[in-house]
Amino acid sequence: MPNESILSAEDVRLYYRTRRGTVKAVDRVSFKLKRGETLAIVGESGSGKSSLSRAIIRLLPRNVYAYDGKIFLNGTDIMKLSKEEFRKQVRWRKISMVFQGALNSLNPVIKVGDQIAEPLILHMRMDKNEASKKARNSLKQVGIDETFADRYPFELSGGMRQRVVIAMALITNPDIVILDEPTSALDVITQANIMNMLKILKKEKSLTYIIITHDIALASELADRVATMYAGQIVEIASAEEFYSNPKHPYTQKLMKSVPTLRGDKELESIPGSPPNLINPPNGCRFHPRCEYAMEICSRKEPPFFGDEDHPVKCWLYR
Amino acid sequence: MIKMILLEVKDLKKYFPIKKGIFGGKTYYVRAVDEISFDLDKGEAVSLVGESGSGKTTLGKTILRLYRPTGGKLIFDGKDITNLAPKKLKWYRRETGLVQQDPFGAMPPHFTIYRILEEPLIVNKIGDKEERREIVHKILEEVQLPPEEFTFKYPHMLSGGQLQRIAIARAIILEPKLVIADEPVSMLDASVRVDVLNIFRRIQEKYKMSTVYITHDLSTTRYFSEKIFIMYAGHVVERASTQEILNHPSHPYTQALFEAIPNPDPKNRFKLREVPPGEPPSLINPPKGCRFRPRCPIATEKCEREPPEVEISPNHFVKCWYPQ
Ligand SMILES: Nc1ncnc2c1ncn2[C@@H]1O[C@H](COP(=O)(O)OP(=O)(O)OP(=O)(O)O)[C@@H](O)[C@H]1O
Ligand SMILES: Nc1ncnc2c1ncn2[C@@H]1O[C@H](COP(=O)(O)OP(=O)(O)OP(=O)(O)O)[C@@H](O)[C@H]1O
Ligand code: SF4
Ligand SMILES: [Mg+2]
Ligand SMILES: [Mg+2]
Repeated sequence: MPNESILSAEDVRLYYRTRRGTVKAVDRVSFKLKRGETLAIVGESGSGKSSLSRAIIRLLPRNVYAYDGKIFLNGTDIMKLSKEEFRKQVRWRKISMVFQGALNSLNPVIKVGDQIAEPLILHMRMDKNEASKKARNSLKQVGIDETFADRYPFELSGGMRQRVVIAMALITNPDIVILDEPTSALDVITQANIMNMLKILKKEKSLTYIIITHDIALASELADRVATMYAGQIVEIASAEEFYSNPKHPYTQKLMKSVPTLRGDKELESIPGSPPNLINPPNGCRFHPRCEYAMEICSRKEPPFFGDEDHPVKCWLYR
Repeated sequence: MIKMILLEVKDLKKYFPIKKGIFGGKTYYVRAVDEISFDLDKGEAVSLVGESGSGKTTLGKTILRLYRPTGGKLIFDGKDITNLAPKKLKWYRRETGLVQQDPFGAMPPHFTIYRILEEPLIVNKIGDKEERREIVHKILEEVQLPPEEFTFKYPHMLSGGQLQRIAIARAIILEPKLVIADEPVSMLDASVRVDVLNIFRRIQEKYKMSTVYITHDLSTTRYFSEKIFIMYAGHVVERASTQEILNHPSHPYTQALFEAIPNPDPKNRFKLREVPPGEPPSLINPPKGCRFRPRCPIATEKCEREPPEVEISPNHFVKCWYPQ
């Protein structure tokens, strides 16, 4: 069944409780992901991208106010699993994640090989020797000589540390890997090398990726489909071909125009107005205060998705 | 207008000792900053661009005297600060600011954002409670974070890009003369990034702050800096005005950097990128001669000798035997 959904989210919410009110970081998000496909999630800082991935892999902070919706993994609703079942059956084994900024949070006093082996010992209850053998092997897979297993993180370049955290996410043999800003801390050459590696690994291990990035150009290195997130919601999803040639949501269009080019004197367009407050998001369409096409209905009523199934857009213009 | 030099960096070196083997092992050195020289004028902004691990953060921290230089000289406002003891550096801390590279690790976790920003004001006895409140609110507005939503939050409640803006606010709240901004916007999307850089630039010009903007994003340098330094494996391999570097990149490494910048094209996913193979060299045992030699497409035998820094056009310096 090549076209089955490996993962599908329906109306997922993740709200946080704070002193000033409820932060609606993920607000009724739905999407489908086919096996072997890569979905990129783009959107501005604070729009809820990392929160959405935390919701999928169920690693939540303490101040959760609401966490619900349905998430089907191979047809089973994993939101119904208990904490223990989720940990045993899903997290790391089926879905794993490379966290934003992870390359800087490697433990400085533990050897790289031991850190890679840790998830196996911790989550898979593997014995130490076997885990350590596997760790060396997985270093090779991410293009690092296995002798580096005995080194400490500071002896590795930023690019190598990023490869190490990717190795940690792959070692449990998951089907789905969430990559949260996997290269935003790296220079463009190292970035390109890592993207090449991710492309090769994807093929070899038939992985399904969700890549979160604020960099639209970088997203095109992996994405089969792209989703735009704005103020806690997905507002557009399309195939990469459609997304880059025919972006529909006014926010996505602005995002495209703000990509800087090296030469040329293009004045960069930034998006007017300030990012929405997620405690009190604007009524109606959340983008309406900043949208140049806003109509009367936009401030009054939240738009549903319009357009065909392959390219839904949450905007009244496409009514 | 006469240019006034704020900071002179002369043959600056920072080596980190590391021991191999637990008992009496030999000591090796990571030569993270190796004989770097340049001047920074008052109010000038330069970009420092380079490969991960090339020594950018180390250079920044050594300039700020968070590290003690292994060699060379640092002159700030005419005063030699190269070897001043930490106790004698208090005034220097007040005149300098650092935006740390990793905002997730850089913030005290148990402080609210308000406290984090107020702290340097309290330490330096600036304003009374009410005035400090005003300063904190104003700076939050400047970095586009609504004070009413953010002052009470703790660092772990902020997204990556929000934390970066707090880090910028904290570094400039005392209006220092020199700011090192280490990848200050790497987690922001393009639209917000340009906004924040513009704000930063405005404040930088208003207070005539000299700034070193460390980044791997060449495309934003022209919105921020007058000059670009390109760093590779502990050396500055090319430096010139921003326009000049963008129009005539001359070092083979700089050229490779330009070619590696991705452009948004859905066809990208079907092919592998062509980039210089391999990793940057070990700084414990850097290659003899030009450090880019093992990855350089045009290297010859001559490159096994260290290339000189040549001025290929006025104020455009390239450390290469064959500048392009
Ligand atoms: N534990 C928390 N408590 C309260 N608010 C939170 C918490 N974690 C995140 N937030 C808020 O939720 C919103 C979404 O944060 P999230 O980290 O998901 O954004 P993001 O899209 O990943 O942004 P970035 O690109 O900057 O990393 C932000 O406004 C953030 O301040
Ligand atoms: N405290 C330390 N002890 C030993 N080696 C160190 C230390 N700090 C940095 N290094 C090494 O010095 C070299 C330069 O590191 P630095 O962090 O300055 O690079 P960078 O250019 O800032 O890289 P990135 O772009 O990844 O931030 C690296 O090889 C690093 O591993
Ligand atoms: S030779 Fe020149 S071109 Fe080649 S590596 Fe060295 S410096 Fe670079
Ligand atoms: Mg994030
Ligand atoms: Mg650095």
